[in-house]
Amino acid sequence: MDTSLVDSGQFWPWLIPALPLLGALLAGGLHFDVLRRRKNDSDASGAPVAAGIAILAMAGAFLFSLKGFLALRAGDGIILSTAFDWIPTGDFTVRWSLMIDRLSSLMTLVVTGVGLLIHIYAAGYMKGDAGYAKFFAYLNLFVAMMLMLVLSDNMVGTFVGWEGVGLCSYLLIGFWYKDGWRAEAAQKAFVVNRIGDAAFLLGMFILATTFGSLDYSAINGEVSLLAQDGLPWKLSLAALLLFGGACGKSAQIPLFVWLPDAMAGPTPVSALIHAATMVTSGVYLVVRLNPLFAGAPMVLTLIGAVGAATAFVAGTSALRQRDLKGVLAYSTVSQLGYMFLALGVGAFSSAIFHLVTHAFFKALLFLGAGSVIHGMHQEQDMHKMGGLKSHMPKTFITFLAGAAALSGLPLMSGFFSKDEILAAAFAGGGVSLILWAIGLVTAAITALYTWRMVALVFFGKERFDVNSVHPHESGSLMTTPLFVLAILSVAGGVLGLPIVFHAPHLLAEWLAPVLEPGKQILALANDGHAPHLSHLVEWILLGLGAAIALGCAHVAFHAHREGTASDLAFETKNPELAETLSNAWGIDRAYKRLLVQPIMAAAAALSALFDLALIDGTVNGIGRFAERTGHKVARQANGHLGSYGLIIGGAACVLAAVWMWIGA
Amino acid sequence: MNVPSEHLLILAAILFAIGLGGFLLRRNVIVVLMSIELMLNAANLVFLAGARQHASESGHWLPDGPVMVTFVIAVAAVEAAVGLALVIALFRRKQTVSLDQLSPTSD
Repeated sequence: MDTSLVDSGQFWPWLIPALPLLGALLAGGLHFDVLRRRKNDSDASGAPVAAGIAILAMAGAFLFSLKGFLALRAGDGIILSTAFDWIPTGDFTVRWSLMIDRLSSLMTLVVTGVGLLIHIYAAGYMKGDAGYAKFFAYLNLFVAMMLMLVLSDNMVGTFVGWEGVGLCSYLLIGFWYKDGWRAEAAQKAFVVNRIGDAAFLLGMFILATTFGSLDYSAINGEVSLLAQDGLPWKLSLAALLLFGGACGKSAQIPLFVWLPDAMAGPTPVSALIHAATMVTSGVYLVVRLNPLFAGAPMVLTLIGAVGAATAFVAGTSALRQRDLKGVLAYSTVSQLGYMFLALGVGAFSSAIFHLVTHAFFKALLFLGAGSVIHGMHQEQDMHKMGGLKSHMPKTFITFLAGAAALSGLPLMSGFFSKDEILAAAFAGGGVSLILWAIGLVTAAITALYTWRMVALVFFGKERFDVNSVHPHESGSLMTTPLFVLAILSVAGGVLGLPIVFHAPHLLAEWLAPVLEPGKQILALANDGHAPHLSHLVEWILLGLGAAIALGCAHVAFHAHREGTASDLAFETKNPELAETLSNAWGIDRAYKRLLVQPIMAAAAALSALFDLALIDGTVNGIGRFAERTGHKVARQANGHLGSYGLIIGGAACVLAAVWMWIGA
Repeated sequence: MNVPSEHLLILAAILFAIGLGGFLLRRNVIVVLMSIELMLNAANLVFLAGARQHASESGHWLPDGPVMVTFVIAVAAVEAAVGLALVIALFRRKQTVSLDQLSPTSD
């Protein structure tokens, strides 16, 4: 272990985050140039070359990520590259350094690979937007920050990236800030994320004071040693706080409310940030610190419970969304819940597997949705769509692939990753069986809302005015990434075939060295036995998953393919239930009533008391006093020498009296 | 010939009151200047009375009081010269030495 931690002295790992950063600077410079030109020509729009720069930067970052991956495959344990000591203070030093290990290498491949495709798509999607160059500057900056997050070898560097992606998420949700509600959604996302970030910081402080270092290798190494006789409660608390941070970033109950609103951003942003990459950083953090979480079984149970609850609540909400992006947003929350469910039962590699496949198919679905919205002239209401399969054949085919993967139809990528999570929960026994049951129900719900969406958008009669709206297929710049992602969504399952297929589980084998410490700690708690399922049970579980997915997909598809009738029937029959479900069980509204409004009222009261009465009162009072005195004094300056003399004489008398009184 | 200090002080107070009254009440600039002169000399009288009192109590003269008086006389002479020159200049321009008509707010 020690030998592999020697600094490689190589510079190229830094190019992975540096290239997008450079791209962001260049594209940002171009935007300033556009702003300058706009002074003379109000129609001057974004420089198309910005997209080229951003895409090139992404391609470069992807190539270097690939280089890192190949170097690891060739046998390098860990590639460490230190730039300088960032915060050297006595015993505690934070280095500014990158670490490419098997986990971060996988994450960089996903971030730069999916990111590259989304950048290409965005070049078409954002065409003609006034902030074209600015958009790519933000998008590249986001990727640079995300890469910093996954590549840093210590928690401080990760936190820098963590905050950076939060900032970019804020900037991009509010990209069209001239619509007030979009700016508000951006603020909401930022504030809710801050709550999680505060917990992240506190957890980091505990680890720093306990271990005197925030390097992942140091923390994981020492936790593994401590775990022999159980972790002290302080470390469990640290794990809990870090999970709080993960809840914020990865949109889990109770902090998930920002993600559905985040759909206010342009659709490529939803695909990149709010589906494929940023929202999965909470999962990454837990896996990165897997020994710490494995050593805190209570926290692990909580993670599983939170994940299952989130998966179920968000899944049921997705059932009743009419906004196309709303369905996908709640679906993302629900799938993230799946990942945390997997973490909760200790199936770290399954969580990463689902993270990867979800990045493929959810990015694909969002981009497909963007293509639909583009073709429908910014219409997002599914009740006003229908019959688009003949108008947009390429989008339709690829969307179908994404939907099949999301709903877990047999042999699709989502099928394997979801079933692996469910199998792990089933194998855990005890409390995990409840999680398994919730997960299974959620799988059914997933199939229901996915195929309701497909049927409403692409099948049935056109429910829009055919004379004024002419849906059209998007250009090849947008459809090519769709096809690449569709292939990945369909075939991504080969990364992790189930044991019963007698094929190697590529992903689990790849990640094994990273996950080994956590696995050992978990096995320790189980008296040395890792949970195991017989082949027969595995086959039954696989069959069950396939049957549920197919059955629910069939039901939902046929209920909605003829139009909105079944939606409307449900709403008239259970108006209250439909209302509750479509608002995520009223959680957001409850926050508004119980937290936001009291805080606003308190703020208004405090502002009236302190700001208006105390501070303004004092400042204005001083001003008014000076003004009034000035007026009075000014009246004395009447130009009569006699009255001046009187004042001088009077003042001399007063002074003399005072002097005599004090002297006596 | 031994005038008590109290008498000197009372005389100084009377002189000062006359000067102050003239300064506040009279309108003629020249009379006002003369009143100021009167007040200055009242002050001089107090200085000298104080010096004499101190000498008779301690047995030796202190030069402070007479020196201060010399300063005041010198400054008063300069003031009178400048003041009278100003009054003459004013009179040439405005044909009057009445304060009421010379005040900047009275026209």
